[in-house]
Amino acid sequence: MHKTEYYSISDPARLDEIKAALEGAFAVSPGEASTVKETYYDTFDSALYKSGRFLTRRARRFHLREKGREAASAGAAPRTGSAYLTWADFPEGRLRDVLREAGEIRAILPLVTITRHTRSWALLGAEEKTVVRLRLVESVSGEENDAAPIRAAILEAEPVRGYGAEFEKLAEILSGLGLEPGEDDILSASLKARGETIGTYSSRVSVSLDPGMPSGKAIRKILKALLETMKKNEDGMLRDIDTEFLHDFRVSVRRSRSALTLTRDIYTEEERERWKDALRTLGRMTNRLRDLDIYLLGKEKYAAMVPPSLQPGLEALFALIADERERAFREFRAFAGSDEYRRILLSWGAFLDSPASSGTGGRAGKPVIKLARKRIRKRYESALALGGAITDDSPDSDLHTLRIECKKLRYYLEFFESLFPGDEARRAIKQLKSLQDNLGDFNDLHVQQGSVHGFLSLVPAGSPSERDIVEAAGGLISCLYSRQEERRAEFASRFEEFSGPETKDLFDKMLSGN
Amino acid sequence: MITIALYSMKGGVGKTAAAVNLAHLASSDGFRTLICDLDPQGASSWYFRIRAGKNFNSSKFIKGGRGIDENIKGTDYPGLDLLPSKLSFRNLDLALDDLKKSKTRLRKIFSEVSDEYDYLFLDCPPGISLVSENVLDAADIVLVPLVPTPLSVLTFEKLGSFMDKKEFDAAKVYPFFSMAERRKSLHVETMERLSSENRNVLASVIPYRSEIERMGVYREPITAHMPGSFSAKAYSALWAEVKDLAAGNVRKPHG
Repeated sequence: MHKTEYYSISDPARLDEIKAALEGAFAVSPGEASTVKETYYDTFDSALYKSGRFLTRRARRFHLREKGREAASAGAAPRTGSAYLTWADFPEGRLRDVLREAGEIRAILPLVTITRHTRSWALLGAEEKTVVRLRLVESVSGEENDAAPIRAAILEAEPVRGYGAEFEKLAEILSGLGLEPGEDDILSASLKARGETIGTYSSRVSVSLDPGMPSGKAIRKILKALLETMKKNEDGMLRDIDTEFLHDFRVSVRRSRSALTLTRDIYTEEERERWKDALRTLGRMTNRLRDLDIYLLGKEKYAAMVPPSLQPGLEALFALIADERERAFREFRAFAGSDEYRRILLSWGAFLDSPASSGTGGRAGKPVIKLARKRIRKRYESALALGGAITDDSPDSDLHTLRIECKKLRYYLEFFESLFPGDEARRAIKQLKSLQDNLGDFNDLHVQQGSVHGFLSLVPAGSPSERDIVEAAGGLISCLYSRQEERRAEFASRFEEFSGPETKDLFDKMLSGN
Repeated sequence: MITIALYSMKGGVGKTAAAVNLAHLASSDGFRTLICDLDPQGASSWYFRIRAGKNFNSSKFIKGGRGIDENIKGTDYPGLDLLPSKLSFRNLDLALDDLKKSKTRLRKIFSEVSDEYDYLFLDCPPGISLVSENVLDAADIVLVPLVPTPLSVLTFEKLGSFMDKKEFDAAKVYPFFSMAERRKSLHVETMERLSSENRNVLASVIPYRSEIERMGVYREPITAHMPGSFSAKAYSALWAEVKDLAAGNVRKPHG
């Protein structure tokens, strides 16, 4: 059976021509028309759009509409006051649930305001029977009274059951006019007309490399992609829209540092040291802020760990952490406004734009596949050796070392994923992830115990809630410790899985060849 | 899926008009609706300007499955599909008679589309036949249009005894007055008498109006063509009652 098709009409001046062609082949009966002015909203990573939904605001009320449907959900007005909307600002109900599921920790941001005109027609067959339904959705965006408003149009063709031949005839006529059905809807088409995109941001590393590509060029491509992600997150991070901007920025910095470890004999020692230092500074200057974010994001989880009697102390502790977070953010913003910060990003960008970033060392010209295989193998074997030596009596720091090793291996696999045919790299990452989750949790729980201890220094001396806070912190620390021990107990089985034959096969397949 | 049959032993009582308008109102409410034209005269197909495919016939129909699936057609109204009838449906009785379980065949055929639709309306041919028996078996609600005259009431009472004899649940039969004329005292008296005797008589009355007769000219449900008209409002009131019945008073389908 046919499904609704979407034709993007990039040049609205062609509408008359299209209409004439349709009228030449079908009797056309006009239907309803409507005009609404609405603002589209989504998270920075387009979570709603990617799930086929549009969140729009008309006047104060928000509506959710599914792609291909005209009907929207009943409107809801969010609480006002917060600088950036999140799901939590909406009244309880389906809309709030959908928003929470789409992006629990992301802000909901306005994308574009359009005036949307919708007109429908029925194409008629014998005896004036409707055989295809058409909807033309046109959008106009831009300032009021703009001399050159920006226009986009989508023609939606909905088949009528039992009239497939007529639907195919329509497709043929449109094809004759150079129109083919596509993926665009009125939102993506409106944004395209404005030179913007939607749904393209992802925090994943996605670089397409060729096995024969010189190593230096490949590394440069990876580093450039990572810098690109950093830049995309910079604005949201500095405006403090939500905590994910800083997080994604930091992950890109860490990945860049990891990529630099691949550049021996590609870049000069001096270059390597210089850029590692620069990137380390970016990491260091954001560590404190991220730690505090993690605490605040986990507030509900921590509250569930301690008994009711300790809740008031925990509340007071979190109030102090929130204040500290404000202070840390101001400090970070001062750094981000400094010459040092600007210089790091500008010089790093300038380097990656210069021919030097393709490498001048002896290994710069060697095929990247060799580099990838060699370095992935080294990390994999090292992870196996480190993990294999861990016993129930090993100190926490041994698990920490293994965690770092696994992280590097993971980054390498992600950088070089495109070099390996089939889905071996993807599957190897999946196997690794299960072990990493365990090690990550173990480490987080370990670090958090120390942090809670550290937060006690925030309590002003002689504060009336000092005693409550200290008790709550003590309770929390013992919960964190017992959870850390649970993770440790799970480690052996997770590692066994990772070091087993199934994972080994995957790595062997990837790493064999020369 | 809730199956609603429009059924009457007598012809020319406004059965098809009711089926077409009620189905249209159901789809306008957002329910996925199918109307099945069982009458070989094909009046509801005609109202929707739909012709059955060349290869469709009564034996394909009673086979069910793909033959039905391929012959359902979308109407001019979103959410409203129609399975058209063919002249060969005049032989539906004979075709059914050849089958095992000949009295429950329609129930089986329609169970195959029950996931696709919220409401199924059956527009039945007049008379008492094997087709009627199938319809009375398959329907969750049987709506019987009654022209308010003593003769119609007599025929309706015969339906009651027929259902008793065949052990159908008479509680699912709901008569409503059709083609009623308030200026005729005979109509008014008959309506009052039957309403007091039968608890299932619906309150909505479909009037005798030329605009309903003219549906055959403009070939649309009157609820779409003249939604503000007196007749369209009468159908809307009837639909509101039927929707209530469907929401609360429907017996669970077998199996």
